[in-house]
Amino acid sequence: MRLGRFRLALYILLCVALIPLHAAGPLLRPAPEDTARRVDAAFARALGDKAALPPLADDETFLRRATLDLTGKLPTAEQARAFASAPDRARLVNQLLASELYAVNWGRYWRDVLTYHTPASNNYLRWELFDAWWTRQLRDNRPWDQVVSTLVTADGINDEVAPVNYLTALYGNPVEIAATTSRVFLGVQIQCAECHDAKGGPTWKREQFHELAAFFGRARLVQHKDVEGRGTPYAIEGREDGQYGMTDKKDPSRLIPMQPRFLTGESVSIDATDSERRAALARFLTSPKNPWFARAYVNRIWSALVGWGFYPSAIDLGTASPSHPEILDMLVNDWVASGYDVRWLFRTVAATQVYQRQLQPPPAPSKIAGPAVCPQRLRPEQIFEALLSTLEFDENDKSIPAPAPSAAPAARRHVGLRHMFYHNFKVNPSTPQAEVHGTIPQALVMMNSALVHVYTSARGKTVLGRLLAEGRSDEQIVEELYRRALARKPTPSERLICRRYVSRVGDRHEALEDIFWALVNSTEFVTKR
Amino acid sequence: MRHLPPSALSIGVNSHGAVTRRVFLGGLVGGLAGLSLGRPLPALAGDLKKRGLSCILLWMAGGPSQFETFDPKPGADTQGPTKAIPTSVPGLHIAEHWPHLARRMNEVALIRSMTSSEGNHGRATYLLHTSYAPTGGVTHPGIGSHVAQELGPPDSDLPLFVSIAGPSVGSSFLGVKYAPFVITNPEQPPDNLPSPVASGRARRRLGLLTELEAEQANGGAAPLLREHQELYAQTARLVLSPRTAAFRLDQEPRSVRDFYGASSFGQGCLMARRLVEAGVPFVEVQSSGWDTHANELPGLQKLIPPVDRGTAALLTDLKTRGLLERTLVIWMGEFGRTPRVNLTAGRDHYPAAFNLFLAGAGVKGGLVLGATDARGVEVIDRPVTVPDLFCTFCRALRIDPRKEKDSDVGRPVKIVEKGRAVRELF
Repeated sequence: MRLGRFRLALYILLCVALIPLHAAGPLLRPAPEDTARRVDAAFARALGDKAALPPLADDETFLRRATLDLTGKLPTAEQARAFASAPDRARLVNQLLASELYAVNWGRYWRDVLTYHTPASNNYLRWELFDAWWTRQLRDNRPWDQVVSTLVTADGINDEVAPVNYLTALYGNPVEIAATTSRVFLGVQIQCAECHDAKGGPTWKREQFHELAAFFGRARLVQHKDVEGRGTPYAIEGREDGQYGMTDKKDPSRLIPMQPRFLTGESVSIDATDSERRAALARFLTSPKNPWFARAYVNRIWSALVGWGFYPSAIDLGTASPSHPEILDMLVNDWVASGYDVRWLFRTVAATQVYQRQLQPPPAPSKIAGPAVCPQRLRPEQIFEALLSTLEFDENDKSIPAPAPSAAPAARRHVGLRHMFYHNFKVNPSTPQAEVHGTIPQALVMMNSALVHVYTSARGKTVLGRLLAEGRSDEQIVEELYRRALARKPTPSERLICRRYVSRVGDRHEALEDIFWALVNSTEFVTKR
Repeated sequence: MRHLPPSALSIGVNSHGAVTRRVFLGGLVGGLAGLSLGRPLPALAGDLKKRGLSCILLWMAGGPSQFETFDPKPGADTQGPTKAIPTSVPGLHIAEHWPHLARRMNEVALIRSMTSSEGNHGRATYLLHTSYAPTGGVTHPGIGSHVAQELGPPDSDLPLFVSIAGPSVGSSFLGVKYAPFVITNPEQPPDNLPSPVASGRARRRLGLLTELEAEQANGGAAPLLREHQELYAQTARLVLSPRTAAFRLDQEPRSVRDFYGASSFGQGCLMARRLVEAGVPFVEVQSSGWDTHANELPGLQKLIPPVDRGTAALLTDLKTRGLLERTLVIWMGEFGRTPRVNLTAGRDHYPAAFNLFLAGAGVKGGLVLGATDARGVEVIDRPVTVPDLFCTFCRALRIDPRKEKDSDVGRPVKIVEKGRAVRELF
């Protein structure tokens, strides 16, 4: 304990010495486990002593949950063995957060959040570059305030300066950029006020929306026509003059010049240059005095991991009060004190008992969820990764048909089989869980596609073919199929159903193929438990 | 094989006269097992009396040239070598490449004064499917999804919006029920629709799935499980439905298939007719290759004949079957092409003035609306904007264009925000 105290003292000293950045917040950088403990204690207090809480999830379930959440993949057999022999949950989370897969997974998440709606072509959105940039931000654990500042202040050509793609993918349009920035990074839904004073929830004046848009009023979208072999990428460049204007309602032919003013009241001069305007916006956005910035992020990440949010919507904090304001405040304050440390929040949420308990059903509409995880549909990339590791196919195999799914945007985020799955299953990551539903083409692809049919087959160089060639028993094969598809052992009654099915069908190969098919088509396969 | 007790099954007749079969999910077990019913449903011969309105969009992806389609300018320096031919409407001339359609122009209302400002394929395709310019902030549903929602029977086992040979534009916040069901190639079964195993085995393994899933029914995932099972029941209903015969062109007589022409587009038109007949409210058929920046004429001489033949056959067939009065047919692309022929003998994008036509569903035939100047540069009479056009679609289909729908970005969105229906067409 002495050593621990010494370490803590040294840590505080270091924090004081190195991080005087957030003078408004506490200087102590909180340990994730401490914050997690306080969060759990607060839930216990809120519920009273008599509340029956679900028990902690078993290690198998926790491993699948955390691996899917943090890396977007199912645990490998090796990971399962290692974790079973030393089931240290905090250490597992740290290992997962240190992996490249974590950076790729959450990079794709943010790419989808920011570009989900845009039908922009590849010239407006160089997604490979944008993806790589996001991966780097997460790998380097760049503080969230810096990430967001970089996005809103970016300029240059979008095939050279990756973060500019946020702005070019929205066509450099001040209205859209302001609306998206506000919605995603603040959870403030102010776009209604583009046309009229907003009613219901917080009241935003029409002027306020256009004052926000005016921060982007001198950022101009320019197409580069002369770049050899690179297509015609777009750039964001500062304009010397010109004002962003709001249409005068009394005389729609007239535009009223707007001074850039943030939602909290801070403003810059109407003569400010583009870079002055956007640098000021970045400061106002990420200021600890801004009540929304940290809340929106904490609420979003909590929701993504736990399956329910303090606010029901990640993009609209304004229309409801949070379910547990004191707990959200605790997380928000500690996260700000951590210096907007992205890994810190993942570590903290994953360390709570809330995250580690067994699954509870989603709450009824307008009811508050209990302190446990609610089931979530896997995101498209997670489903593809799960299928890839379960069936063991080559995602670049051109011989497997990958029919182009409906309504794919011009700038394809992926190619081939991954593209087919991504677009069949795609969903806006900001959508609340209750509004995410399966589709017929999704079910068709899982039920009938050549990919699933060929790779659940007992013939050829397939998983099942190999298990049969190795001379394994039905029992062993069923166990291995469950491990692959669902990352757990079959229950006794599942073993019984499978055994009966094999004897009923008669043809052993056909029966095992059907079992493999059924596991891939199960609810559990596409659900985070 | 497992069978459900008869009480778990209900056979009814929906508002369109279609026989429906609904399997009630009595508990979780049995949901899919209900599919093991061996009795085939009678394919719908088409109870057309009660059938509602439908829409077929013939989408010319790439942007068709008005000079080589329905607004030729004989004698003008902008016209190029394409000549004009007379049509079944006295005084109306169209480009010579369209002899079949020329004989059907009496069914058609031609708009020669379309105008927009979107000259990028992606943006204009979005505009001409949604009536909105893309904003990046909200994804608007395509007209196909709106029509599917407004006109589709609630209990159809067929998709309500089918898009043939092209992706169309999705349903966005209207949800999966109204998303385009895409047919990549009309001469083959839809992607992933046919079961790769025999129907007996398909039912058997769906039964296994249900049995295994019941094991999970008591955990926290029960609501998701229920939804998943409903989705699989609905999908399996489609996979095993005899009404998917509507997708099978091999059930048409050879003479009918030949009448539409031996082309992907022609056969797509035939499938559109079959689907509309089966009660699908919106079908889009795409023809690609209209982006004729270079060597335009040889390209169009190959591209147009199948479209001419397929489109004319569709109008004739719909008319003969009494379906045209209930089916709005739209022929259009995302913009027109420049009056000036460029250095590579092609025409570039030109949204300022382009043409398209409508037919059926109460739209007057043999009518020409609006005009461009003698060189085809500017609209000089009765300009029609894209929102005007979409209000016109709504009017023909008896849908309120100002109907608001809840979106996923926190504010309601109208089917069409601006514009007014073109009254002269009715």
